[in-house]
Amino acid sequence: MQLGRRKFLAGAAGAAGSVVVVGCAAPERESRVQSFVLAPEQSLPGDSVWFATADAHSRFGNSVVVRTVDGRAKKVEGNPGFPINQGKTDVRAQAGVQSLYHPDRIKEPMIPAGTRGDGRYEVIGWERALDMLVSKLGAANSFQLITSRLTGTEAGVAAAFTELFGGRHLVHETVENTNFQAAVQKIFGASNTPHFDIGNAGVVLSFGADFLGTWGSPVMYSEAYRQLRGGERGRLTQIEPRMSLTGASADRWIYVKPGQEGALALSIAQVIVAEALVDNKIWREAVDAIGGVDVLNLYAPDVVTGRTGVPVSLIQTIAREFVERQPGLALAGGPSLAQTNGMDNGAAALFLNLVVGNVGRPGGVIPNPPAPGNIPFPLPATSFADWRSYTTGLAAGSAPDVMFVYDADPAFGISGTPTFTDALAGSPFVVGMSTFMNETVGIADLILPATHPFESWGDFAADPGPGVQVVGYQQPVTVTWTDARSFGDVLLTVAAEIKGEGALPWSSMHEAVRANAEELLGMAGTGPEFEPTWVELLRRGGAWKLQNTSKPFASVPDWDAGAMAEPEFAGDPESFEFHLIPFESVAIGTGDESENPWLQSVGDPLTTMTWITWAELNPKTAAALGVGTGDVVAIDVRYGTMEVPVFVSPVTPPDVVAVPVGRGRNFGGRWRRDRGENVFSVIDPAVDVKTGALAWASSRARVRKIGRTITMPMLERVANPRNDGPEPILEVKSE
Amino acid sequence: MNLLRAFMPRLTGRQLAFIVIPLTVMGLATASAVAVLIFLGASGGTIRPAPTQPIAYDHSIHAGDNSIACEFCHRGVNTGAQATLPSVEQCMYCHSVIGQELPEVQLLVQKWEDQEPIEWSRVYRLPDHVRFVHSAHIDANVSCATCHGDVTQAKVIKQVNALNMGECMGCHRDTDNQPKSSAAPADNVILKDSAPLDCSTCHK
Repeated sequence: MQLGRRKFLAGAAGAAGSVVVVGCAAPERESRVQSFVLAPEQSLPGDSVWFATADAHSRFGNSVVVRTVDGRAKKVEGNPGFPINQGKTDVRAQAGVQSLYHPDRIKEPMIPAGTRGDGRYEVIGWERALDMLVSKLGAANSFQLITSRLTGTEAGVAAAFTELFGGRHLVHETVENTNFQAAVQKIFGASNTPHFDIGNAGVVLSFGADFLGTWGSPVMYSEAYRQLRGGERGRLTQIEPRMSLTGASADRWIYVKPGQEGALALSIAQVIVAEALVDNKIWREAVDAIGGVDVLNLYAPDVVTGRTGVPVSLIQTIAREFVERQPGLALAGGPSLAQTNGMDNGAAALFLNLVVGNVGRPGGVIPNPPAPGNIPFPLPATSFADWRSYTTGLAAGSAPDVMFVYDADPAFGISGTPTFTDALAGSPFVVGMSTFMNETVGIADLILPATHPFESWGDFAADPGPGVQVVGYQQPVTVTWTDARSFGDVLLTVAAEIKGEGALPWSSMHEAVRANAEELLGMAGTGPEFEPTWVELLRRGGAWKLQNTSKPFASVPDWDAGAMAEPEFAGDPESFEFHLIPFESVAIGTGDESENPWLQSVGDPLTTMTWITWAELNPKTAAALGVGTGDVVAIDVRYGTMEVPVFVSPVTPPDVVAVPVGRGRNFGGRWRRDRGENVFSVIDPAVDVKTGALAWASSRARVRKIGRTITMPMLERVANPRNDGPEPILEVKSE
Repeated sequence: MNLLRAFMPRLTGRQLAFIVIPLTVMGLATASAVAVLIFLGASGGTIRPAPTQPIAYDHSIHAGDNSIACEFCHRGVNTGAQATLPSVEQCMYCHSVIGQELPEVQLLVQKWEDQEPIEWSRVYRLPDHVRFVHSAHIDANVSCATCHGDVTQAKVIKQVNALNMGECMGCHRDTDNQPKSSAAPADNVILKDSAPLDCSTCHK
């Protein structure tokens, strides 16, 4: 065909016209719009709806507001009106959204597809799952419930359920707090955590309490720390065997030999008394109650300097400063209390508050009111000694007919032999309920998916509180995208099935939480009349400034300083020359949130380490061993060995090897499993001689070079944690 | 031409014209296309034919015969930017008992049983650069029919207005449709409390 000028021009114009027409048409997909099957409550498409609810990763007192769009949670912020966190959050609260939509959540009820614990599961529906549970529990002669430290109405429902079935309830906490609670009881006669008024103190003397990182209520204390440093700058002295985030923020950081914190505290008290730095009317009664001045004199600085490793002049300086910069506030926690004499260490440290009369006043230790009767504080943990004997009993054949484990992981956290996993082998029927798979749930006979806190009802009484009663509410901010159910609702359903309707006073967690709120505000049984108040409570996220019913502290301590125990360590110092100090890192803490890649990739504040377990060594020690950062060493403890890479840290004392807890999981999702090592699997199962709490910082260790080096996933220097190196660490995709 | 001739001296004038004229035409066509796109984008387009819907929903039965208010189903219209589509659950409020023998209702019931959303085709669509807030218009007493026509008679819902910029401006300039301020001067075309005419009111 011959292409003439006219034909060419006509063709060109047609092509241009086609371009216009095609360019004008919107893609077909943009003309489609889906309606919800179930419209999210209060949602308008495209508009944000904010719900106040409990912080998903803190059971102890933070409230958040969650921004939702089209029924989906998008962002977490602090609840600005809530007196504990005052609009602030921490890294764990922010990660609540990621754990909510985590692809590795347990989504449906399951049973083992092969043998128990081999990691293969068969999905069954709730109908079959509940049938199994009801038939087993209905026919059971014995029942035991194992949970984490439940709080509020959920704890109340669990207690009522356990009582209904005549069972036993054990509470597991990976890093145990028993010694702190016992020390508070001994010194102040209080059964709940007092308010340590850090913000108004003149000087804070902290024995191992990492209150800016992992101790107590770090978000509340961080705000208090801001107040401490503002205005007339308060001082902070941190005394501990491994430098924590709080230690790094302190004016003075002091290494004390592990287990000698109590001796150092009494030595400080001795200086205050001997130098008459405080009027004897203030300290006389308290000092007499613990054994008198004669007992204190046994801890004079020149006597204890050798065993504590703290020079005499420094002890005197701390004591004088503690008095000069009133009010002086003493705290205790962390590894200082995780010794075989941990409770005594805690009591001695807290006793310093009595010596300077810093009790019940601003800047001091202030009693907190008890929890409202129907909304309990987090349940106290079963002591490690009890767990150990329970595990031994299980292994010996005392397993209950039905064991129900919820949100707890004793198979991960209980050291010693027989292991909890081995002991569980003889249990006839184990139910595991959790949001994520863990070591204990993974070996259950029936696995139930639990809702995320953003999907379910609950409440809590803040512990520690700020000196007044504070109750927070947890409401669903979104409908669950899995087939999960709330633990409380499952218990209530099962109770009604087996024992009949009305066996427990509530039919759902929503009803139970609302009923307890009615009672809290003196409106029990008012029904619809309570509705506006209830809506307001949920809008605010809680209730506070309730009637203050604080019980005053005991007038004198119930503790005998003369009977203070000496620390004992597993392993002789000749063969095991290091103290093995486990510690919690800020982001993944005890590892309950190790599923979460956001938290896994948050660098430890002091080392910037992410994703793995490491061992902190002093530069001189490392040089003597011939290792540097990244070199893998074997850490031999009397009960086992673990291999971890070294991080050379100038603030690590020469006789200490510090290892973070929380990693080394065998079960769970892609970001939890097979990352790092579990230091709790090798530590000595020693306990506090007075309380039975796990003395998790009392093991001695030997460190050996094994001639292997790895690339360290840290934010500085060596490797690239952003995942664009040759070995990708993180690949995010749905299943 | 002279410039081209300098670069390509061997080509005849006719041959050069074969190069220059098509290039000029294509350039003009492209410029026209861009102009048309800009115009269409700004105006909101033209009236489009009724799309095929997954369920042949009949507005004349619901809004007409049964006098169900628009807001009963389009629940966001009073409070937000979008009028919103009813959820499947909301349809089932009535259709769990009404009209279950009808084939179109059975399609709905199937979606409910499968817990699947209904994928509707949009009838009205404004360009992405336009910010339109339904609630502001409802608050100003603009009836739904002003833009959407009389849906009480519509068996199949289809676009009745182009909703281009001219139509928007027609209403926004028409002070008779707006709430009056008694203090407004008579010769002021744009009353103080009439619909705003600022660009940023509607344009993102």
